[in-house]
Amino acid sequence: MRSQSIRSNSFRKFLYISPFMVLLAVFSYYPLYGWVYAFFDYTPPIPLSQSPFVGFKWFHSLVENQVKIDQLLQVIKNTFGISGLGILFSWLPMIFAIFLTEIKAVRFRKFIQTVTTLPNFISWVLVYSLAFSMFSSEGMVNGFLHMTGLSDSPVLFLQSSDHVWLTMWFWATWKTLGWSAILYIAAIMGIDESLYEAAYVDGATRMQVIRHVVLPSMMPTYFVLLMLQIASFLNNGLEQYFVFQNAFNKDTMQVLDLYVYNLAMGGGSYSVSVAISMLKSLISVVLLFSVNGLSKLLRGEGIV
Amino acid sequence: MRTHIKLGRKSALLLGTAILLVTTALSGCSGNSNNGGTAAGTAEPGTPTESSDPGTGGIDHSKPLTITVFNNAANYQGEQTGWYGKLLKDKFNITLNILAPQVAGDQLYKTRSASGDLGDLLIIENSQLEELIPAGMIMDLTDLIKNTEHLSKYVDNHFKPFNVAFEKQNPDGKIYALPAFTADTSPTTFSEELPYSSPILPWDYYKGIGAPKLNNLNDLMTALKDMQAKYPKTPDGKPIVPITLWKDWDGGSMENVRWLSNWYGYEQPNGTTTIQLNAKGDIVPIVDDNSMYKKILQFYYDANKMGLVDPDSPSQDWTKVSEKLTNKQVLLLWYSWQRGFYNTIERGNQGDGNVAVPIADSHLIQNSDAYFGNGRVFAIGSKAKEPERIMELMDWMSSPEGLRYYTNGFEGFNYEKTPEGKFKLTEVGQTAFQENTPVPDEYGGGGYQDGQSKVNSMIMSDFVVDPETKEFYNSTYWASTIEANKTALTTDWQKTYDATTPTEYYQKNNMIDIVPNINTSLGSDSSDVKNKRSQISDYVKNTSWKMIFAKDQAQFDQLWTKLKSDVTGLGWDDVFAVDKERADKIVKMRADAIANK
Repeated sequence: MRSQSIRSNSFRKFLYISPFMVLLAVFSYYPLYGWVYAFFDYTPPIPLSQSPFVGFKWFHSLVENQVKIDQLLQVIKNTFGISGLGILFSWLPMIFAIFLTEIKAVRFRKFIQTVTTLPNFISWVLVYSLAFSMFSSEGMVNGFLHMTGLSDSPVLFLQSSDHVWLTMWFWATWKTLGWSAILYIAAIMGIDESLYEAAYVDGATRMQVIRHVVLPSMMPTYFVLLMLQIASFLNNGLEQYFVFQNAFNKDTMQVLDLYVYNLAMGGGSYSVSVAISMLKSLISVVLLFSVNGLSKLLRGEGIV
Repeated sequence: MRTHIKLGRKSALLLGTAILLVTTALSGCSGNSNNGGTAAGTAEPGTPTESSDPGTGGIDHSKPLTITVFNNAANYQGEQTGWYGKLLKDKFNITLNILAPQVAGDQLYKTRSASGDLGDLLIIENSQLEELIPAGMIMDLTDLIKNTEHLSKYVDNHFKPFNVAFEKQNPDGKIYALPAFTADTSPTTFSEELPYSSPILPWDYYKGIGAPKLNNLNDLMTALKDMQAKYPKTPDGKPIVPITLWKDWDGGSMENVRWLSNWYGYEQPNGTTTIQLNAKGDIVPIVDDNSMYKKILQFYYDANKMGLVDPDSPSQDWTKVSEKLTNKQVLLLWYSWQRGFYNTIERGNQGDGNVAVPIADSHLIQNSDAYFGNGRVFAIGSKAKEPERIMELMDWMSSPEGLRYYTNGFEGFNYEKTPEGKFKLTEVGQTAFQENTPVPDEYGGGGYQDGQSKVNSMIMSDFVVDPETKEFYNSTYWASTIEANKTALTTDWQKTYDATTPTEYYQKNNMIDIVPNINTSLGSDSSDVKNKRSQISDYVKNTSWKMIFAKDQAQFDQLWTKLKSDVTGLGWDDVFAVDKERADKIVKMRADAIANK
């Protein structure tokens, strides 16, 4: 009798999560079926069933000669460079959130928060037109340089291949800083008041409170977000780089996502892009597990 | 696929600006059509000015029909509304629902074709047609077209030769598709007043520096330099950039280089990316050391060294360029329709405007009128419901009534009949497109431009003669329009060059090769070649841009050398072989067309 009730009870509990498992299967595991396209010579109007099986041809075509290998290596270098910069400065939103919450004038704080969050909702196309009106040869910045006599001929910021990673990082940060700070602000709000009070009673200054109370309480949030960011290390999107790319900066700007897009949508085939995205998933999984291992090693806990 | 977008934008632009050109060119001329606005009320809404009875053939119009139009030419996505929408609703009880890859993105074709149903009415590229026929997604129109009143007239000379050429996909010689923008002149005639690409300069500035004779491209650069020195800024203080370039339409190679090659007799046929072809049939790889492509790159490089090239060229887009054209900030133009951004009758009367200025050593290559169509086709999807009604609609679109509505709007509102039985634009008609003039409610209301056909393509083009007036449907070539367009600018130009139009000048001086229009199956790329082509094109474009903006000649040469060796690594030989085969086919068909003339 007793064991039966336990069994029915656990079955009921299973029912609770089953809808989510179905969702997971449909949206996360079923799409993996699409990987099969990487092994066929597929062009849309012809159904897959009539497309010839080509094995590892497309994987091979990515590295079939030195020019392509160089190109792929450069793309990977760009991806790692730009994502690496992002991770290197991933603490920025946290620090920003901490300082923001330190502002006691509520209206001013809200104002700053709104102003920094808004760019997140502007499309990259608009951001580029903003960049163009500021940095083109007739733009504001060149106008200013000319007026003050700092330079005679216009400086062509948008066409330079120097510091592309840095400028791209800058644009991305400008766009997302306020938005990414939201989670940290929520985390700060969750810190136990008594910790602050104890610190003040002990005579801590504001900076000391930040260092000994706020920062340690933020660490779990930071690490979780860091891990998520690393998991999507290779997915730095294509929109931003798509609008900013031109002949002069393309070599240093083309990241994996943009490379796949240019290759597949630009005129090529689905199959190649599927092949690359398979490789991407593979690298992402490897990265995730290594960071998780690192986290276990350093902090004694991981998330997976 | 990228070339398709570009083509689409270009022809859309071409059409748009051509209309703009006509309307702007006439906006100042109001002398003799005071009744233009009031005459609008005379025609009944939806009543044909000439009877073509849609009710014949026993087709039932009582049920409303919505047609999904998959349309590569459209710049608009959604339901056709406005006066054209009302016209179709009243006449045929049909609503058009337009799907536009130019708006929604290229993947629309891929996803919809993968699902097996592209739409009811399809306006697609030749290469897409080649993929879709074997996939069983195109309806056989052979029998349907027999019963049509207007289209059936064009079957033998226009549609049949086009369809039969798709031998591999169409061994039985069925009629699957009707080529778009088909002209009814001849396969070797060129009807336009100005070649598609030729040197165009602002007349007043050119005369301002003494109208020096241009013997070659060096003279052109000197002239541009002098103009820039004399006119550094526009009246409102914007800097003048003699040459401005943009990257938006770069396909297989750099588009701005491609078209200037036409000035010296070499074109890059659509469907190819690695070669250039002249009228004699010589096929030159663009990476050849003596190719016209390289010579034009060198020209742009030299021009840039002289400070003639707009420094924003690599980072700006076409919208920015058109703004500069509207402000007369650009000195060298090369597409015929670019004139429309600035030229108006008012300015023309003051001798101000952009005109053709021939270069003595140039020898243009120009395709004749699109007798066999322009590379796109109209077709019906194999799953379309009520194909008879779609066919009836297409037939009407190619009737005199349909063509007049499409190209010129309504009689009485946009144009009127002269006592000689010809047509003439009304005062409203001259600017209706440009100013988006409100259309009277009886026609459906809304702005004229907003309500125009968003299909943005036609089966028979405006270079077909209207049986009633014996003139082209294209209003630029109406006698009344030509008369109205006699400004100081045109008469001055005509006196200087002793010719009525630039085309006539080039022909008289033996400076142009008009090659027969070829529109045929060139075969679609295998995915292998597609891949290689895409990577090579990317590489060629980027390097071209870098060469134009190179530090010095040494860097220019070094980039060129690297380009030649790197594209070989990317599979140049395979792509070239495909392109060479296509070019050979074009050369052969051109020879046949001339022989049959």
